[in-house]
Amino acid sequence: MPISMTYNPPQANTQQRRYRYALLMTLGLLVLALVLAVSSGPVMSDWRLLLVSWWPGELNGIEPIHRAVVAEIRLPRLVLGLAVGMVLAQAGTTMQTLCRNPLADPGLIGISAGAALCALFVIAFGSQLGLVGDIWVTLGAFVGALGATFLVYRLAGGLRGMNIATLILAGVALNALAGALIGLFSFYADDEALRLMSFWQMGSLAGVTWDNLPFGLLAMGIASVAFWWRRHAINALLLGERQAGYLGISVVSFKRELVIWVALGVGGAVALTGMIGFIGLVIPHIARLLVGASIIRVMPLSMLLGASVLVLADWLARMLVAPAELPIGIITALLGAPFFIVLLLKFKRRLHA
Amino acid sequence: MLDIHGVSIDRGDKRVIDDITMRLEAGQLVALIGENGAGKSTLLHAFAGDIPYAGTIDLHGRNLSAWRAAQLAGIRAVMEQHAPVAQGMTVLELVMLGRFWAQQTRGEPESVSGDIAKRWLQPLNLTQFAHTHIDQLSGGELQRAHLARCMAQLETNLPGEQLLLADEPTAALDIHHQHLALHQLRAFASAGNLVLTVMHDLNLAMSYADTVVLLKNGQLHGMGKSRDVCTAVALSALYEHPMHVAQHPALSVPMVFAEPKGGAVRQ
Repeated sequence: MPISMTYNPPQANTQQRRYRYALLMTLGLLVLALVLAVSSGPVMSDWRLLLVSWWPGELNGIEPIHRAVVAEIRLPRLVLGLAVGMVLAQAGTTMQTLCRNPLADPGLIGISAGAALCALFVIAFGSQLGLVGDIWVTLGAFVGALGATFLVYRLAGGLRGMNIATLILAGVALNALAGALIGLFSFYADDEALRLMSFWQMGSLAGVTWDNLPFGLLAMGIASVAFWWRRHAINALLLGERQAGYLGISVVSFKRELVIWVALGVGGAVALTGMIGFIGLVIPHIARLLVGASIIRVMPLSMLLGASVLVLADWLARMLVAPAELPIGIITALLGAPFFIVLLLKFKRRLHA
Repeated sequence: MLDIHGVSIDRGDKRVIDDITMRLEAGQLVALIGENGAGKSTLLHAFAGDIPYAGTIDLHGRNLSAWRAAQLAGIRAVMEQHAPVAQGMTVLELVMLGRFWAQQTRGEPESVSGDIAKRWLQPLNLTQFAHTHIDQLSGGELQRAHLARCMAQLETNLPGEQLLLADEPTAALDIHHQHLALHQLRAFASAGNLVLTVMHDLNLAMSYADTVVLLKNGQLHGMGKSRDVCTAVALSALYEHPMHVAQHPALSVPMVFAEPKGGAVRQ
């Protein structure tokens, strides 16, 4: 027998147990988010509103108007929040693995900004080009996200030799440029330009109806299913591109495929909600802290956690200054930006390299 | 099984592999030996399909570039010299990654992959590390984990010869584990597969390799059984260092003794 080391590795599979605990806790969080999102709001807060859509009889004190609020305002908003949180967390997980870079977040590196810019362009100038309707806004956001992704890759020196500092700087540049253009386009698009600007740059789930949802939801749904379906291959990318190739992945086409799913997911989300930052950065990190690096575990946990956190953030955005509303981006930035600073400190040494 | 014909590789304006032609049949362990910069790792990476080359490399009679990644993964595994570390991944998860192709192309269930992976932990003395994060392993343990991953990757019930490319698979291992690892490679080769390794430890190469390939300045300087090609003259010329070859005290294999520079230390 070889001489044993001083380090005593765990004998039982604690990893698997932690994963189950994390999933259960996150499910609990999700239920909490669902309850809060449906039952409370400026019009009426009552837990019985949870039942109102299914309850056949009368509920004391609940008027048809309240039923309508739940069915036409809170439920579509809840569905949107779940989808956006889920897909942004998945896109963040994927980008971080693809770039082998813990700070690669669709918001930070400018993908969301590209999507927002093109979506707003369609809104401002679409009528002159004959592009009217939600489908064009979603398509515009997809194209913008795709363009921004390729631009960032170019600026950061290609996927192989991607440098964290350059990546972040490319994101800063893209975000600044897109921010300025979003400001400009807003004045072309609408008299209420300032409100529009704040919507695109800080995001909001307000005012969504069932009619707005289909195209964005479809884009997010396709991306989300694709990420899920490819989670084993994304996991293999953890060993680096060359090893992933040995393991049986056609790396070049797979990277292209992932970029398209990221653009579709982020584009779909941004078209409906504007830019919501930090979800794609923070959620995968928390998931990794809880269950380790394996994408097989990080992916499902990120989806649940992303959906719960986004719905909770939206609930806070609605409740904190009720009856007015905060842009949800303020909430996610308040939670995410300090996290980002901690990450920067943690990776300081690698940034200097 | 592996046919190499007129393969040359240039790096910048330097020719690192110069017109190499050889044919390697399955059922043997082949060791590439030669000094630093002789082109051993480069050649191995060419067989892995990582770098462009002039000439042809055929695997099972089919041009290497004509294979799809997913097909190739089922019959060929590559163990790199500097094994990548993914933080937060456990040893068992790493070894299970070897089954990726089977899960994708044959729908192998996760539980089956897990069983195969666990089976390969045991012979490489890794069972106790199954749930340890690989960033907590020593260099030697990590190297064994990657070997286990390659062995798990090549486990199949389909007939056919498989290829394992290993760049210095024992470099980070202690003597006990060097022999443990090479025993596995030998057994794999004897089962009708081809194992192609780069080795710096000549005595290990001569004890385990059926065929030794001598490389110098990117050219083939000899190939055959170690008894035939690993002569004192040939090795001294290959490494430009005085060497002696003698019989192993207990076995009928030749052993190499390099002369200490400036004479041996006084005992």
